Amino acid sequence: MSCRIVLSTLLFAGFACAQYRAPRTVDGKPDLQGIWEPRNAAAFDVSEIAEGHEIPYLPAAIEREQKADRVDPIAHCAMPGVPRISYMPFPFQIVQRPGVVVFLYEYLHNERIISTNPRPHLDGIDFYLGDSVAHWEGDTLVIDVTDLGDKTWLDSARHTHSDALHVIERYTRSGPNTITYEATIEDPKTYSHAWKIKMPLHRNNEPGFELREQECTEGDDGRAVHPLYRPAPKGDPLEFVRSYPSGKGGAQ
Amino acid sequence: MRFGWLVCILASIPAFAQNSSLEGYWQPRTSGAAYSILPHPGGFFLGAESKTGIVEGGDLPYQPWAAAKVKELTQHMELDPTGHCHYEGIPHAMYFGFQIYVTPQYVFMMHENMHAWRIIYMSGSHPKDYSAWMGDSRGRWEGNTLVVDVADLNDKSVFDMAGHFHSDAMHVVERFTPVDADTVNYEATIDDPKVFTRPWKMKFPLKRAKADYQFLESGCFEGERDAVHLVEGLATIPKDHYEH
Repeated sequence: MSCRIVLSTLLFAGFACAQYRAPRTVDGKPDLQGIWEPRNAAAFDVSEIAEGHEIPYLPAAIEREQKADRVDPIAHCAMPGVPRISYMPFPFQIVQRPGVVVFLYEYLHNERIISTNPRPHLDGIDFYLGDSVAHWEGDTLVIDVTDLGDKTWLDSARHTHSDALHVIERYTRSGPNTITYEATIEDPKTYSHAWKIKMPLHRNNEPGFELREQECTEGDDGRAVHPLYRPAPKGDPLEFVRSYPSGKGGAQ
Repeated sequence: MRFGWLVCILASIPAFAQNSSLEGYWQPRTSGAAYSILPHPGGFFLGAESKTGIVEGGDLPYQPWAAAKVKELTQHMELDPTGHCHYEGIPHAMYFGFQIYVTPQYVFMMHENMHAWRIIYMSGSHPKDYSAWMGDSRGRWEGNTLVVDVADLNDKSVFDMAGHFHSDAMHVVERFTPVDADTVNYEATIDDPKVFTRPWKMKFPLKRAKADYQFLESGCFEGERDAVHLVEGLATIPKDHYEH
């Protein structure tokens, strides 16, 4: 009798502790498809989701940073880079095909089309969103990202990196409505050792919810930026911007 | 009804086979439509020559005020929003290579240029109080033709670099018709009663890209001197170019 209780308790514990088993796509991989969103403020300060809330900066990197441009690159409408795109406070949609995972981000209509068949990284070229190569480790989608350049920041709190940045992202379904997102961030020119960030991604279950367009380009108006166009009238230098055909100067 | 499930599966196969023939990477053959959708000469800045353009009938039915505005816009190419790294909008984005994924609820189109993407919803209706460069797309199947109704387009996008423009009243109906394994005919009917006197059509073929084709990132941000390049390019256009 007691043996049976122990056995059933063990069984119960076993089930309770068992990892969530995600639904599968046609090729038997965990189904990550749907609309997901981070619900945190990491885009403003990534240390919120950093392990120990600490970023192991090298003294030289801090010095470099203090001398650097003080304007967040996304203020100029640049793509935010990886991992920052993953925690921009906007929803994104994941689409899967055998051998391919696609991320469509509402934020500045960024897109990543990532092969899950191994290939070497591209050489001698940098991208704002890097070069992503993915593979499956059990039920985890692992994306190895290099070629990120040094033009992006990790957040608007001026946590920067060098062109030696290497990010390994891990996406694991942890429940019907959640993905656990983890990333290892490595950059020997900036950090004393590799460090980790971790956050849940939540499924957007709002009925009828659809991604919308989000667009940003700096100073929208050709007449404002164009050096050969008629000079600005004296008095109000912004007059000619305001007279733009639509009557609305500035970016949207 | 014991074999109802079998009937369901068999019935769904032809439909799937038809619809999925749109999947893949497509390269439009527009003979320089990005420069002008009307017939135009070729050149370094002008792109490929086109004797026909992509507009049915070779002419655009502008209202008189709009024809005058086109003429004015041709003198101010620096205002072209794509030169400022904006989305091209619909149908402009369709002149460049893109990838299609088909699912029962959505058709996804991922473009390389301007890292634009579009989700075509196979259900629902256009949202109210929405305005976007790429508009809002609702699709349906007519046989093996994907028909996409695009509304909620803003008045900022343009058709090309030759001043052809539209208003926010534009309504586009696109038709993607597979004709063989490697060809899809693209046709768009443009209706904009504020700018044109009647609806008009553009059409061009899409060719399937080679199997090893893949996209790289297209990042375009202002400060890249696009506006300056446009004006340098203007100097290469023959003076009588706009006198069609």
